[in-house]
Amino acid sequence: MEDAEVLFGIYCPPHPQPLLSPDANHGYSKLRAAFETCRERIEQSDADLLIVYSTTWPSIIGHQIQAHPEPEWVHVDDDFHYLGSMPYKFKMDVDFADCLVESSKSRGLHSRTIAYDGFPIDTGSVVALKLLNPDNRIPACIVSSNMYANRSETIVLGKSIRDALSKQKKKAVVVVVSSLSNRMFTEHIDPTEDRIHSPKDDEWNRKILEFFADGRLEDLSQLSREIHGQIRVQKVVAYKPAWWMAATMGQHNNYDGEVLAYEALHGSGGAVVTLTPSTGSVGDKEFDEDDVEYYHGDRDVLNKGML
Amino acid sequence: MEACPTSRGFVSFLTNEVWYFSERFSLDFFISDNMPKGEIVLGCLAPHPPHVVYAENPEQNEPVSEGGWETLRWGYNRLARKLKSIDYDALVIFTPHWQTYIGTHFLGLPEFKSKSVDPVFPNIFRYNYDIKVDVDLAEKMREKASEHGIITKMMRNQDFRVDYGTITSCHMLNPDWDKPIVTISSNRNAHYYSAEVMNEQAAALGRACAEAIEESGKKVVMISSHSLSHRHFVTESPLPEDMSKEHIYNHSQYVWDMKLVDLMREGKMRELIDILPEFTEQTIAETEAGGLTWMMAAMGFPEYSAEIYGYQSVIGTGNLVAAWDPNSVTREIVL
Repeated sequence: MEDAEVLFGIYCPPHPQPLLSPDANHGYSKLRAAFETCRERIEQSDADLLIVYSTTWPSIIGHQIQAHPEPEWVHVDDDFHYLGSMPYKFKMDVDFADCLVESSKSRGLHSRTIAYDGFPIDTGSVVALKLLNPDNRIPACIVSSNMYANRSETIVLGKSIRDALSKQKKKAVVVVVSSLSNRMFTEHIDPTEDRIHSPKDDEWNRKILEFFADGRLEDLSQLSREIHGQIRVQKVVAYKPAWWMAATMGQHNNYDGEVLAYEALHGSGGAVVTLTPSTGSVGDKEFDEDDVEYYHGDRDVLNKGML
Repeated sequence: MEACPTSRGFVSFLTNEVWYFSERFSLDFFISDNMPKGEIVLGCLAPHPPHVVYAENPEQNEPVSEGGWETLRWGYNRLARKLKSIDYDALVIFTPHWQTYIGTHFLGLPEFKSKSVDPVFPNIFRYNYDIKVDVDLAEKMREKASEHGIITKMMRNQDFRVDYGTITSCHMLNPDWDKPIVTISSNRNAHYYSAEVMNEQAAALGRACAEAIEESGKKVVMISSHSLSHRHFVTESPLPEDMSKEHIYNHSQYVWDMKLVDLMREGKMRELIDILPEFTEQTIAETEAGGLTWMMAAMGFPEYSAEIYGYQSVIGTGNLVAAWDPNSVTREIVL
């Protein structure tokens, strides 16, 4: 099978401020400008497809893939409803969604397409697609983040996406929608006084951004568990975006990284970063954790050894 | 009328009434010494797997089923019949599926009409709803919570979609939808701090809501909307209602769930709430949202037996329908 063609990757935050209130804070404006830079680069590319992995779309039944050809609704965020509504109408690549279901099943994953009128597309996906692809110039594919999935399952999902891209001979831009540190202030704040929640979160965010700038995506993937323990509020079992992004983009460190913006979003770390495949590796590490090609499901540990 | 202004309203010297001003809408209300005190007339533990609505086949839900989860649904049906025999003004529900990280939010508009599609189980739940909200009561609860130091927010965006937890629990308890509701979001203290902090803050919110209910003069049914153990299977049968495939995720979840049921039967709700952090951690329980703690604190940690209506697993999670009836005359031993 031919290698998948990922033109570049984008890492961006899920919060609605860059879309709904970009002028409320200078940092929000910078993030908005960074989104617009990415939009221009997407327009200048000859991408056939945007693939979005959003941490604000949790799933339980395996991996859900949006396959409504034109999902349409008016979305409102659970926390930031007072910032306004987000009407949307997107264009999905249904053929790719169907192909991805098949490729993920062939690697042992449970997956299904979702195509229902009124399905609640999540805040992160809405923000990303409205800012990155406002005219639906190219179709998109949104995949969920399974709340129980860990490293193996997430990496296999990324490889499934590469399989589907190869099979359909499509060129893609991949988009990960996720904060860096995700601890928000637990009270309402004046947006002009927004800042990263703690110096520790800020230091870790900046370290992660150094890796991004150096193109060391696989190194970030290997650091994922440490990042989760240090600066992620434990809503889910793991910090999965780096695993997904690395697996989808080829599991190496050969990228030109560019940090377009890094700002606070109600205390969390919001960054817009691009990674473009390049040549020449960075870093001096090999890793102990095994690569995985096929997901075998639960190991049934809980039921072993019981009386 | 002579009046003494306060921070939120004024006191009439002639009638001893306290008038409160709402922030944006003309929903001003007053409390009088002559007004009877409000009360909680029932507390319900009402799990919200959308499967039970799917199995009931109401006209509001688009998918059609062949039934399923009867133990749970029949228990719900019996509790709904009991509710029909009770005089009450509003249902107040605490829902884990309106997750807020910046304080506790309350629905703050009188009507919401839209379609709810479950983000996890869209194949079985696409429900057209038309909900009336008791905004006066919601405002009062918000005000009391705020006085107790709890971060709060009224939700006044008409495009906001009401969560499926609210819809499922309220539909199963009152399928006629003939009473207004108050929906309270779940602030995720368990994520940001710990299950112990969640317990304390949810209890404080419960006490504040009880004060608000008392001052409102209204009779209220409280609903804590959640499962007990909450580990799901990550695959689904081709026919979701195939009951030959349904069972608890693992035995330890079941044992923990039964421990809680025993404490409820014994009327040991204070003890139950005390061990809730451990239960929540061990069973990935949906009690992490704080609903049960909120309701028990509002009801003063009942020392009488809960009415047990049914327990059944749904896609591996443990679900119990139960109620706490403060009226010893109408309190029953159901199961």
